[in-house]
Amino acid sequence: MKEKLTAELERFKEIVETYGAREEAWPADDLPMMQRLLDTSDVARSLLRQEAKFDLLLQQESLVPPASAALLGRVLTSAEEINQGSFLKSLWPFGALWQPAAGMVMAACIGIFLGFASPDIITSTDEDTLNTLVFSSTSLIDLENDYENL
Amino acid sequence: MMHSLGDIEKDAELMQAVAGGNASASRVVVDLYLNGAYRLALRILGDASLAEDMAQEAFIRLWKQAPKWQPKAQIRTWLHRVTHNLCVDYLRKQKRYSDDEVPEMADPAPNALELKAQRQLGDKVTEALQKLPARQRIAISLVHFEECGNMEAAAIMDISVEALESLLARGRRKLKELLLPARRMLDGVEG
Repeated sequence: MKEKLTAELERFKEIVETYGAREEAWPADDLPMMQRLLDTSDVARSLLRQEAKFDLLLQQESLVPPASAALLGRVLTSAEEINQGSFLKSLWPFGALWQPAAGMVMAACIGIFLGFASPDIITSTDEDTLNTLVFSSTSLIDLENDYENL
Repeated sequence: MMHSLGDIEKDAELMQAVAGGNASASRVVVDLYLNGAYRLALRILGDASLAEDMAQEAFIRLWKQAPKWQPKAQIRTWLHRVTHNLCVDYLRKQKRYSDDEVPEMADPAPNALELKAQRQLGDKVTEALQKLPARQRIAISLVHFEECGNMEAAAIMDISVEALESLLARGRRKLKELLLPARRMLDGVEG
């Protein structure tokens, strides 16, 4: 029993000295043993504290600056140059082509529908009646009288 | 850090969009992974300008790979691996890739006060990292700073998990030696 504990503590020490105190970094197979030792062994807890302190020191590493804006720009430009997509996309680079196309088709359909559905204002019969009324002799005489009165 | 199959499939969808020329997808990939590739290169090479070149080259290779991308790997792992290989090739050409440590400058161990006066603690850590042999530095960068899991880091470096553990253990031990004055100072500050 004691030998097993010693062997497990050895492995615990090996793991924290290799991966540090961050539990997520520990090998998955060893996690139950590590957790058990942390619950039961002062030695294990002390080992973990030492490594946690060292991890804290490593975190003091001078802040690595993020990639520069110039690099970001170069990388994005290279993406555009290398993967340009289809020919259609080069003609219409403003997103999905189906949206404006569908809008145009819809507008045309509505126009045609309205054209057919609207009532005819002037039919050929109405046109004849109007012609008769306007150009009849009575109407023309009335117009002449009106003109003379001016 | 373990990655689910879902992550791999999501990455594959993203790469499909990149291959189709979707600028938004390219932007997402860059936002997620450019800093990681750059940081890794910077830690391996210790030179910002070179690190930018390596990160850019890694991304050019990623864009070229996009139309052939298979849902087998995560973009992050793939990029780290390519960045690692580019940096190692560079170090090899410069004959700087070996397990030998970078020779130390004549630097008598200063006491805590001198340390404070000379340099910030962060600079000491950065400097100590650069003194590690390249492979130990890469292993520590991947596992401690980029938070890769042991299998992922081993795959990136193309070594076994046992070999990775050996590099990590030796690297941490060496860092503890190199940072002894800083550790004492930290203890002093805390105590």
